[in-house]
Amino acid sequence: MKRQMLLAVLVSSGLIGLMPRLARADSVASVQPPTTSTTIGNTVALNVDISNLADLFSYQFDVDFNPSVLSAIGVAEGSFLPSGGSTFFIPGTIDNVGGTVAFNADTLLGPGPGVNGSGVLLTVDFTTIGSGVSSVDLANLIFLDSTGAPINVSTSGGTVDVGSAVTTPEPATMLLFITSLIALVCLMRVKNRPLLL
Amino acid sequence: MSKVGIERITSRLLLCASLLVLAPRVGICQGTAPTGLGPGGAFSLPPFNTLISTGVLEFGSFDLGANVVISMGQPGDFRFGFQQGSLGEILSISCTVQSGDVPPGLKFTSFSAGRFDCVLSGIPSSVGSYNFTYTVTAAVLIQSGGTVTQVQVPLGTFTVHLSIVPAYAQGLIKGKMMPWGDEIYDDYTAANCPTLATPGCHMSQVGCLLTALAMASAAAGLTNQQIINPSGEITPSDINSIAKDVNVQIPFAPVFNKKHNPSLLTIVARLRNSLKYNPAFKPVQWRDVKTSTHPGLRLETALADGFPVIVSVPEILKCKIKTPLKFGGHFVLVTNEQSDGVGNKTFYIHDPGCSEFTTLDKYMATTVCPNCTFNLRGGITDPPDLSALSVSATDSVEITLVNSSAQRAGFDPASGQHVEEIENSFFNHDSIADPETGEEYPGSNFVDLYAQPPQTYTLVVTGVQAGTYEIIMTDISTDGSIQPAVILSGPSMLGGTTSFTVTHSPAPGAKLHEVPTKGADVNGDGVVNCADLEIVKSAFGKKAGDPGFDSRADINGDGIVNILDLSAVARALPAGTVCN
Repeated sequence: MKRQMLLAVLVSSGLIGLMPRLARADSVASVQPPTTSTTIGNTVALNVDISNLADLFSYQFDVDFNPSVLSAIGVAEGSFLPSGGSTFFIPGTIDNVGGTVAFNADTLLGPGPGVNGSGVLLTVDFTTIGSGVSSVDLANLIFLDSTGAPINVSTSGGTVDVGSAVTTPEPATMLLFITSLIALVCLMRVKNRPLLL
Repeated sequence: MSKVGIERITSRLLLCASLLVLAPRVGICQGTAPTGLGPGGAFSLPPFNTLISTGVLEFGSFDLGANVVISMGQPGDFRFGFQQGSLGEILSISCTVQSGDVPPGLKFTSFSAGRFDCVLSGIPSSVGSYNFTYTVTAAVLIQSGGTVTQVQVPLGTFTVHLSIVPAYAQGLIKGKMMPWGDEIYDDYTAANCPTLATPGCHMSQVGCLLTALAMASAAAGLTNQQIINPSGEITPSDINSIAKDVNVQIPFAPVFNKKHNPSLLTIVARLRNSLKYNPAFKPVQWRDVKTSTHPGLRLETALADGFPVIVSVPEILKCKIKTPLKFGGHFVLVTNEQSDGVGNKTFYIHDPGCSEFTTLDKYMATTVCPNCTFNLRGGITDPPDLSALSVSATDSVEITLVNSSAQRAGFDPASGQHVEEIENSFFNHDSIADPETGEEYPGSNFVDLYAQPPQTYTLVVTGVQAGTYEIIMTDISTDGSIQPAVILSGPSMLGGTTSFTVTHSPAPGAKLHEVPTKGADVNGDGVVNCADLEIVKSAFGKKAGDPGFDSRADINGDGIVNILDLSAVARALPAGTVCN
């Protein structure tokens, strides 16, 4: 009996766990551009686009990033949802320690309907603060239609590749190395001198 | 008595004498003696007692006045009538419904051309029991002196009891197992086995196949005009031919033809043509689920065409209705298949031989498809009802669904036990064992409700440990399509409760969504406006217990203020509202 119950649980759990994935629609929320290369100290504006959506009324999601590479400085509403009427936009809470812009939300006002098609949901501005690569991902998405029913949306993240601010030519590097070596030798010589009391 | 009166009686007696020719067969003129003539006369006759089919479909003979059973959707031409002898003076008859209802799709007319019939014709379109009373009058000629007069003679008033049963019910049979192991079939009439749940009724030898075929045809949208077999005559070899399509031979007893209901054979005829008219309808073998090696019989291919597929399985699965399989072989419908793209598949299976599934383990045991799950339904429905409401929760909470009749499925806080008061509900709460290692790990609570009508449930969430909870609710429509899931989450604490309202809408294309448990008038000032939105905004993203959390803004009571709450208020705003 217990085995039967366990198998039943397994089956049902698998089914239920599978459902959200099975029901995934063709709509994709994506970070645009998907790849960005820049240097430290610049500002990068990344859009979050939505494609092939029907009857979008409200949405909410987080934007995750690497806080050692990027620092979020602002969030602005995109043009897609306002195309359907007046909206109520809540820019997400910026956490540059944890690397997230959480609870970005926007909704149409009134009985609907929602908007259809593709467009820009919002734009996040970052300052590049460190070299390296930061992925920019979307998380905790909730998309609702004009009846309040959820809309399944898949995600596509982006990456920002931040290089060093100044690149030194190779000969100068060698010169710096030699100069440093000479200085080190000199320093050692100074250290070997008798102390003057 | 006047001269006219005498002549009328004479004519009436002549009429009766002519009809006496038919008396042994149709029972006319066996009633009381005539006391009068013409409309309103008290001449009465017993019911005509012969039903004659016109040959489009041969239903055999039935007694009028007794139950007449026909299958829904089958064209018919049922005649309640008689032939006139050589001495007949009847010009025509008139059949008029006096009271009651003729079943939808049928009409009741008179026929007078060489024979005299009341005709019930058409295609019944609605299952049910119908009673109607009709009167029959005959137009006869009466000679009075040199004048011939036509008068209406009442022949009687009759009642028809008509049962329109689902075509699928014809696949049922009533029998009993004898102590020596043989099954004695003692009743083949669908009237006595209208449903699988009727005591003593179960699938006949080919009932599962017939029913599976019928349901598949219905699901494929085949109309009766498309699938009717003009030739009519179907033999067991025809059935075996169909069986061959699914690679199973069904042995028939020699008395098959004699005992079986002709209507049952008619169904086979319709279904056989359905295969011809709809080439995309592909019976395949169950093994194709496992191997998919036969390019012409791939289950996925057939399902991709949008048609249910009949598969054979080695044994009937555990049902509350015991169905003996003396001859082996069983057929079920695979109605849909979905894949998540990473190797996991869910097959939607309808077993007409089971009225209700109690366990799923045998299905698991009979497949070697390691990444497949099987969503099972049973019974005879028209079309297959695959609807379900599934709710699962993490172990931090117990869940209970309560319907409008206060019946529950899930956890009963009072007793600490699980209850399944709602019909066709299934609840479980256990750890999950890894089939390979036997290692157990925490599982989920889940409540599944199968084949429920549209209605609203209260979902009660009871905390059993501190932490967080997540609940996934999914509605499956009658056609097996999965509606977008609704996910609830929030903090849980021991003994804490919260509730949600869940609307189950099994119609294809519907969407399950949780109905907010509070109104959108957050500040309670009697109007929904921007001020309500601002309250939600102020608490946006806050969870219960967080600084700044405002329970007023938690419209759906899930312990977090998020877009579900904001959207609920936004949708309730008047059109044209602008909030700065």
